[in-house]
Amino acid sequence: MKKLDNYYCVQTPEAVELRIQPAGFWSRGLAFATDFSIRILVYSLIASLGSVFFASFSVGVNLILYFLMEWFYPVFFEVWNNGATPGKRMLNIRVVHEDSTPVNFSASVIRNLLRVVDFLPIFYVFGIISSLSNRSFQRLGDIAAGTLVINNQFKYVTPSLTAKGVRALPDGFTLEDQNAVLAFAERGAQLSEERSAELAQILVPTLQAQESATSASNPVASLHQMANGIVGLGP
Amino acid sequence: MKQAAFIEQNQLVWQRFEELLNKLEQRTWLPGRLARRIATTGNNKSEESLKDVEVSAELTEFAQLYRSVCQYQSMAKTRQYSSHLVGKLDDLVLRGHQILYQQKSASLSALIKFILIEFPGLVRKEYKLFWLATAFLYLPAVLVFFAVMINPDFIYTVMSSGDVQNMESMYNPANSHFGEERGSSSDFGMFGFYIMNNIGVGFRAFALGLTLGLGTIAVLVLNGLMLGAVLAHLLLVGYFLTISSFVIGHGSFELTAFVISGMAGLKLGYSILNPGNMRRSRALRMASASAVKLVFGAFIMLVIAAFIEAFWSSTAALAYSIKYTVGGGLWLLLGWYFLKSGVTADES
Repeated sequence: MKKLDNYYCVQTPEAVELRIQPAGFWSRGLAFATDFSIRILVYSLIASLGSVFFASFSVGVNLILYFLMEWFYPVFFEVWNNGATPGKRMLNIRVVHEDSTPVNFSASVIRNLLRVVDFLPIFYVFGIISSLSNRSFQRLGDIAAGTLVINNQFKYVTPSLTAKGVRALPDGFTLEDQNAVLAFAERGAQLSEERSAELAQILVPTLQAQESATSASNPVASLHQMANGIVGLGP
Repeated sequence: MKQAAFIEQNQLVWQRFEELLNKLEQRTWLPGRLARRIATTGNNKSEESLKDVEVSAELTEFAQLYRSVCQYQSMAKTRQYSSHLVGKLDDLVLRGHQILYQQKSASLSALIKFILIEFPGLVRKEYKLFWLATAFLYLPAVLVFFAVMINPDFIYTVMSSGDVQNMESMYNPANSHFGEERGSSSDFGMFGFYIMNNIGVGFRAFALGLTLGLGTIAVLVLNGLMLGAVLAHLLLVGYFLTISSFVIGHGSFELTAFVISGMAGLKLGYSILNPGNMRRSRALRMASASAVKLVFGAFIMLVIAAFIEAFWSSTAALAYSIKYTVGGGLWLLLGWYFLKSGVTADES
């Protein structure tokens, strides 16, 4: 069965499969719009202040600044700010190579120079079409440079199991069932009380059918205790 | 083994690994060596070298720990421990992989090496594309040149009458400055203009190579047409000395850089059309990695050309003979550079 998540899998030399999540064209588009506004802001700022500070050089400075910002603003941030321009940072996405390593100068230049083609015929239509036809949302510049734009990964926090006591597992519990109980216990803090009770209700018949165990008066606590048993925490 | 026992037995390893990860993930704005030097100013030499030793010991430990953590991750996954443990180890492995296998950007010495050795060698290696791009730029120029000489009204097929008048006023021998309209009569302003304009054309010539090379060819041909038409028309009007002394100064750098950008674009287009026995995306990727080096060299040349064009070519104060001598000298210099400098890419 094909999964809904569009994770991009990287095979490392240590034979571990890493999964990263490519960012779609909507977040990329918003990031681009933000960057565009920032650039406009900087142009107008420099243009209005330019004549004050640069006197006769202001025209040249303006033009060179315009040139650098148009072609190299993304390159600068992608190489020295860990793959994220300010717009991308706001949307929590960044540019990486296809093996999930941070992008280097040469690849960044390629993908940004090729914006010209992605922009054809108007407003990035070729780029959008390309990113939608590609499993990893790569536009033409990304394909040529071998880069991806991915969503930043969260910091994992291992939750602790707070319930006390151990309860034996019912007969015929498969590994999948054990994992489900364990996941229920670990996410206990994030679920509301009503929801926990609702989920635990599913197993009440099984708990009542258990021979040596106590009654299923508090199914939630029972499930937490079973989780303790699975993990191997003592009573 | 139960999950709790597994964690208890091994968590010191991945906790230490996470410590090192957090340390290594702090990127500084300064290159590593410089940052360390600044951090250790005031201390004596021996302490600085001790720091180096410490750092390399930590890096070795990091690599060893990375392999251990990969192993634990595989074990946790196989034993189907809870997704939170596996997720945490996944996260550690991902972060470690990104640090360990990161690709370095080039340093300053690599840049110098590139200019002196790699770039001319790369151009020599792709000599077929070079001559093809040259043909696309200069053949239309020559053809239009003769067409305008034979039938002066042909100029209006290439340019509008407003543009023609504009052009004539730019290269009138009576001007104080030749070239574009000088609103501010500032050399630096023109430098900025030429940077923005010419380098933009060069980059576009490269990028449009993705359209199977057709865009690149269009850019080269159009620029060639303009070049030939302008030269022929100004010859007929009698302004030839001004235009030719203007062009010869920076033309060597600018025209050759256009040709090289065109080369890079054609390389991209050709890799899509004829990927050999690779997938097209892979062929494109490999071609663009080397084509971008050509563009980088062309970029440097165009900056130099903009500099010459703004500060040297356009002044009317210098005698024509000086301009021709220097201009001719620059052409010879470039010719020597591309023929002799460095090693050809498939030698070495």
